[in-house]
Amino acid sequence: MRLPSSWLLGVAFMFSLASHASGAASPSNAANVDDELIQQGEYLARAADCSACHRPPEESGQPFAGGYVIASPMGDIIASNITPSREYGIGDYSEAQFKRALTEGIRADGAHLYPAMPYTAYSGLTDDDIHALYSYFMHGVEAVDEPTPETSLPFPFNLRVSMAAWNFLFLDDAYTHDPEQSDTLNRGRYLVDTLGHCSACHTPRNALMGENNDRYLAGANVGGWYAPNITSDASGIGNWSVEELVQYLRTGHVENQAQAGGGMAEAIEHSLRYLSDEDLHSMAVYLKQVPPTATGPAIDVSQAPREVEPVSPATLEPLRNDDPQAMSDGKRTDGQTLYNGACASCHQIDGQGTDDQFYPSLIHNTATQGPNADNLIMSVLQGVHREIDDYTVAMPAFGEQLNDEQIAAVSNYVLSQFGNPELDVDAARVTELRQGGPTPLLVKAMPWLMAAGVIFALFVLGLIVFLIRRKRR
Amino acid sequence: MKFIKNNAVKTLRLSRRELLGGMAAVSAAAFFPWATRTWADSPGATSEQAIQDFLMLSERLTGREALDARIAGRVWQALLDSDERFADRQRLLAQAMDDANLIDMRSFKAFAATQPEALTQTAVAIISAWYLGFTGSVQGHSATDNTRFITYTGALMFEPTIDATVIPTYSRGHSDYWVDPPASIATD
Amino acid sequence: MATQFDADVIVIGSGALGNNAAFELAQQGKSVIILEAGEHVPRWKIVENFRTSSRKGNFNDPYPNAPWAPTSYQENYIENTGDFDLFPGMLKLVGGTTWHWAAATWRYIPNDMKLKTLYGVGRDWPIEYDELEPYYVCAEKALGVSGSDTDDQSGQGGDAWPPRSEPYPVSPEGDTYYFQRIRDRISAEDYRFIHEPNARTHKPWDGRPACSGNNNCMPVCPIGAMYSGDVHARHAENAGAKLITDATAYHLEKGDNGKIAAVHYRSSNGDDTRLTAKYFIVAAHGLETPKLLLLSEVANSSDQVGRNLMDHTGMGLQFLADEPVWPGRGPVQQGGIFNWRDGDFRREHSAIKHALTNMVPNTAVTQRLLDNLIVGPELDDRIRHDAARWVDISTVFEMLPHAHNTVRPSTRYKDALGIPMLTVNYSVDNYVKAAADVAKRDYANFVRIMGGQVIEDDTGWQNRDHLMGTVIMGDRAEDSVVNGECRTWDHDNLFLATTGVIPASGVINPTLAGVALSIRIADIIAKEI
Repeated sequence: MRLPSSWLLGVAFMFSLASHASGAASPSNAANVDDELIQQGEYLARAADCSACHRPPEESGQPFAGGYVIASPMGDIIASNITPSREYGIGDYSEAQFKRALTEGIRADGAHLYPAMPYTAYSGLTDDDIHALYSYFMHGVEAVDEPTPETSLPFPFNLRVSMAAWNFLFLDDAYTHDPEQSDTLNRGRYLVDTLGHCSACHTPRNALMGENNDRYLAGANVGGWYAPNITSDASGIGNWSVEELVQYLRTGHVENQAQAGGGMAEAIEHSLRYLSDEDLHSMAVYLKQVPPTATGPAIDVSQAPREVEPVSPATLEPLRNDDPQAMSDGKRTDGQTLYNGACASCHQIDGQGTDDQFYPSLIHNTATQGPNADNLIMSVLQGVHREIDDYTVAMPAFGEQLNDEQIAAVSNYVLSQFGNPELDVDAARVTELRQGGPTPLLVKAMPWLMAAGVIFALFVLGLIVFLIRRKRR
Repeated sequence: MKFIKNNAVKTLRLSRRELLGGMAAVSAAAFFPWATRTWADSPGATSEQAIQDFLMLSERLTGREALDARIAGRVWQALLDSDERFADRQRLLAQAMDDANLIDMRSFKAFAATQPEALTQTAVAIISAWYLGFTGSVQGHSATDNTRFITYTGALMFEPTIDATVIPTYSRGHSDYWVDPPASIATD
Repeated sequence: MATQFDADVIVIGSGALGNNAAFELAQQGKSVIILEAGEHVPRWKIVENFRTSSRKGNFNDPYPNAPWAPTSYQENYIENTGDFDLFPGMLKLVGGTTWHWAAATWRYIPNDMKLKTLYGVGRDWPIEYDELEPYYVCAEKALGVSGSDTDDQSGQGGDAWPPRSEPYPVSPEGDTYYFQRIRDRISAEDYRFIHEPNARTHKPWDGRPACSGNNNCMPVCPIGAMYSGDVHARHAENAGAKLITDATAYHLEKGDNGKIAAVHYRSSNGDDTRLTAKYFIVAAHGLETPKLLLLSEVANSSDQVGRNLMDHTGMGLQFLADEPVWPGRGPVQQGGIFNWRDGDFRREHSAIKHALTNMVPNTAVTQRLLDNLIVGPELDDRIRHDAARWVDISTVFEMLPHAHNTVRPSTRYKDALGIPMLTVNYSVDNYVKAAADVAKRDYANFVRIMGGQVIEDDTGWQNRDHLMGTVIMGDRAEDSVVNGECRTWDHDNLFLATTGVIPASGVINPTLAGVALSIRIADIIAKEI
């Protein structure tokens, strides 16, 4: 069964915060906890998008009950139960233990969390916010007394203790308030860096899966999708207005510009659409002044220059071969044929979408005009699903209807007719993205590293034996 | 793919040929109309002038200025195949229209009243093909009939309503848009 | 000694009914094989086949029609010997004929299932509505049905009916302007309009996008918003079922103890294969299922196999209204007038449903104008004028089961595999003819109220493609083919998943009942394996 993508999917190690029943101090269950504080905590939990991972496998399940299986390059991660269940959740956590998990990645029993739990971002949480979050999770969330399966990654990723070394390398100094900057910028940065942990997807990772801070928010691959450059460079969001960014963060849709798919759609659905206008504005203002990192030519889809040549109906609608085998032949790899059969019903023959742009233009669109075609391919493979306040966007997945050659062909037709004609998609890329995107170097290299480790261990062993024998002599 | 393909696939082509071969004494087409239903998309070069004439006649009859030449070829071929005297009829019709100085098609009914029935039918057959996007008569409950495909999205019958309804299979917009009437309702 | 089987259950036919049963069984861990005569064809290809079809009013035409897997419109596939030419649209490919339905997913009302007891005509169902209700809920979730929780679907203007243990999975879509205008005017004279529950939801469901009114439910939904049986072919396979295409079942082999031992199927290259299983479900359509039983000489101790054939034989009305109502925006149908769904009149004449058809009418409009020699600028003006005012009403009647309405294997014609095609003998009885007079009086009212100009109000009998009765369900082995579980009386491991089991037709599209019965079959079998 194919799993829905998570917006953290494939980023890195996902964490497992399974609480083990222990004799730890029980939390206060005082009934007089401030409702306002709980609401504040709920808002923060939305902003931090805790439910993106800590959700049940089926949509109808209880919030934060965990159990959702996330495919990561290192193996399947089971999201843990973070309801206040004392046996299966975090009901026994003290506020100090809760804070340590959030900001240092160490759970109550002392074990390290995997850094896909974005504690590197959450390390900047203010004590007030941690208090509000704690109050919410302890008193505003219903306990679910059901266990989730343990995550068991293959060796050596199952060695949680190795995270101590990783933290030494990558757990940076946290966000602090900068009195030199406006409140709006400070708030925006806090929302982007700490709560929203935007960099978890938008900043590329280095060989050890730590964020590459030199390329902060400059775009990265996430489980096949491309989380684009959102720095202020023209190849990022430099040509977006603050208003457009706010609209995008709230709805995932800016007419003739861009639509959110994959993990970004989930982030909007579960988190960003619930934020106040003021907070979204702060995020947009902050993003607009993030130092530019160029990742290619400027993107300005509003002025995409393409004139689409009208296609003759005679080309569009070739005379049919009524042979039953020809009528059944679903393996054609002619991009125009595939586009017209599979895409044009919604995006229209001329790629302009519908007049109301409910079905968006493929011409004025970052998915077709961007620096790479990954999001176009992923949209075709997995479809797009995005529930927002007024309606739900749902492009169906074509991954089962079209094979990799066909998806490459239809993508190339879209790019050549409507999008960035410089781009070219080959079937191998589709195959790779179908499997969740490029495998990180760390995982690819692991067999070699392990082999090297074994050789090294044998060498050391041999050396010891040699030394002992010599000593005995 | 999870479909279990039994070994039918490899031998399918051969076996079908055998199947047809066995029936060759009779007309294969009588049993397998699908085997003969495809037809040429573009007529031979010798027909080019005839099609050019046909295109101009079509534009007069439909009141359109720039009809698609390749679609014209399809209509011409389909009508020719259904009536071997079509080329003559086309010429006679054009001549009669010239003689009657029929330029404005609003006068067509009056023109038709003075012409032989067959000539009127030729005109309607041409107009019908351009508007409906097919020739012949559809048999609803049969796998075969005498219809020929011309065009779908190019069928002229969709033009007058394109701002209000759809060419079926193509969307107009978001779900439930249909709750409201078209913007033109007050003047429709 | 343990017997080896090829599968726990073999399902013959990969349509909506067979696939739902197969999925339930596979999900419960049973090994399942599905046999399908046709091939798998992706949606984009069918859309292309449709757009390049020269006969768009022929709903079978976009689908492959192979000599070894013919559709129902293949020459000689059905030879009619009765008063009426029964030609239901029927397809052979993965997903079956729900590729071209309009996804109307009504429930029967309790009175529909007690026709004999209440009104003294026809037959009763051997099960009560309450027994079927939980499976209606399952079927509605499987298909993603959108419907009204407040309508009295019996058409009597009362409270919500029939009873539901759970609300509809999805709320109803908005009424089209066309539906609103006609409803507002005609309901002023006490005609009761009911929203049609449907599986082409306006909200995404189960990986399907929302319906956005592409207006092409028949013959193919271009975007897959409308449910079709291929959805559960995919689900069944993902749950572990094996789907074998190009496999036409032609013989059910009897074994010991009154059980069915094996099914034999033939491929297009002529190869025959025999497969064994603990249970068999024949889900091969309302005409093909009885054919397979008759060819195999099974399940027919009652002599009722292939008898009692019922369609919702209907008629139609087209007129031009005195105002623009603009059909062709939104889904192709949304409901209609239900005054005659239930009442004491059912002693005298059949129940009646008038459904509003909302298809883009340009082809019919243009053909009619050209027939009247309207050309030139006037033609364009009139197309717009008439298309905006075109009203199309499709009426269906409740049939009664009669032993003389039959489907049999043909003795004259065989398909390319050497398997007999079909002979149908079908006529319309006085029970329906009496209702036609009532319907025509309604027609006159509709036209008068809408200030209409009649285009056609005497269509004669029309096919509705809702096949029932051919393997009739009952509570006595002497006069029925299956019992209330859809298990054949003669073979306790042979079940029939087809609307052909339905013994009292009502006036509603029977597919949802068929899916509900199929899921129930799967539950019954799963408990026995």
